Amino acid sequence: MRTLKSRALSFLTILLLTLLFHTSSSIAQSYKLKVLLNRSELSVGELLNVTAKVYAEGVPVKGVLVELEIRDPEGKPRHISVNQTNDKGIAIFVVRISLNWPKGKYTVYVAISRTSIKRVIAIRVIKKKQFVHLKCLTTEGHPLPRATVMLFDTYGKRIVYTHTNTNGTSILFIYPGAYILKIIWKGVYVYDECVEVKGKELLILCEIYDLTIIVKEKYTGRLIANFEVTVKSLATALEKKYYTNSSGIALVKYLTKGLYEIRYDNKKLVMNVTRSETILIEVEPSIVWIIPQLLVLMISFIIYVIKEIITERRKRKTRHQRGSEHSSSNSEEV
Amino acid sequence: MNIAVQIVKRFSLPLGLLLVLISVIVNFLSLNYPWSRRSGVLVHPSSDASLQVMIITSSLVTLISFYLYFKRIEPTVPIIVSLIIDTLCSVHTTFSVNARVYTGYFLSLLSSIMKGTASILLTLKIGLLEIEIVKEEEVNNQ
Repeated sequence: MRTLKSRALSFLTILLLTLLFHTSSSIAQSYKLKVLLNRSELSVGELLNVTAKVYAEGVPVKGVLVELEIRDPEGKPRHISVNQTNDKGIAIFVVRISLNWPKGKYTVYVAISRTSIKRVIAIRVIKKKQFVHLKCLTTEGHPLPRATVMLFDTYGKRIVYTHTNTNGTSILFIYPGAYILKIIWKGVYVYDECVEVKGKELLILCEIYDLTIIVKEKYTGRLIANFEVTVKSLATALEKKYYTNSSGIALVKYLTKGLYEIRYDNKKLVMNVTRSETILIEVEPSIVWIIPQLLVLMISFIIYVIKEIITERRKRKTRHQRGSEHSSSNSEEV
Repeated sequence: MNIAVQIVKRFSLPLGLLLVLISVIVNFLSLNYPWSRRSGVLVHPSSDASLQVMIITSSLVTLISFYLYFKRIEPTVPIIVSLIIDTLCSVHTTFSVNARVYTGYFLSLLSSIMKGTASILLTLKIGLLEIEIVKEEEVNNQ
């Protein structure tokens, strides 16, 4: 009896499960999947856009899980991802064709999760290197010559190690795509970011700034020409002398981010350079060459004043003496 | 035969006035030379009108001392006034950062030193030059 019961129970369970599966699959089978690719032929490094649209009876379905799988020519899965449809029943996948992927015919599988609904589309991946003109500029737009350029792929493997020429340009022969670009200038990293190589030119603005130093004279406000200013980097201890032009301006180009010591006329000024700036320096004028003239004037004046005082005293004394003599003679007469 | 000396004329010229005269000439000479390089700009009386005016004024004021002397009035005051003008010239040309001085400045300084010395000599009434114009005559003792 027990065996009969247990058999009947298991039979019922199987029956229920089969019914459940059939109902769910019938619901799922009512879904429709439409897949669109932005391109059928891609180069490594380029982006593949896969747009999957799920709708049932002409109405977009929200919250349906859509799976994406890309297989290489050998049938090896290269990319797998899952996405959920939005209000419009759309799930978008953006896949960058990696530099490490071999060229050839790839198969893109798009399927609705836990259903047998799927679409299979073939794409072609080509590997085509191109010349890219990498131009390194300062924030002020000046070319950056003799800078070290290092290009890494997204896995951190160094692909390029080169230097810019006098025009700040470096020619690279690479695949289009995403890279990590590092630029070193005078031992300092002036650029360390992810870049996307698309066209034939890549313009990079490095963290290099210009410092405009205006030197003015205190009290007179005159701009000082040919005035020496020393700029020392506290990070590298490198220092250089600059001289102001006829307009009293010294232009310090190619400064990397950091602390700098500006020395002028036995004075120091420390500043943190984080952007291109203009600073005004006021210098006190010297009176060295006025002193001799002033001394001559003072000596002459003092001697003149002393002599005048002595003369005045003598005059007073004489008047006093004459006065006393006059009074004594008057009294004698009386 | 003896020679007799007869004084025809006697002058008493103060050394101070002689120095003043030389100083005026030196001061005028400074008009032809650059004075300094101030704030990177060359200062020359030919291109700096105010400096030119100051130099000429100083020289003219100095010359007043001659007039005053011959009028028997104290001649020191115009000399001191001209020294003040010279100091102003000096301030105008050298009051700057990293000023460099040239011939004009040194000539002016020399002129000022002479004027200063002259004013001291005139004030203290020293350095009187006695000039005698003499005539020699032969005298027969017999």
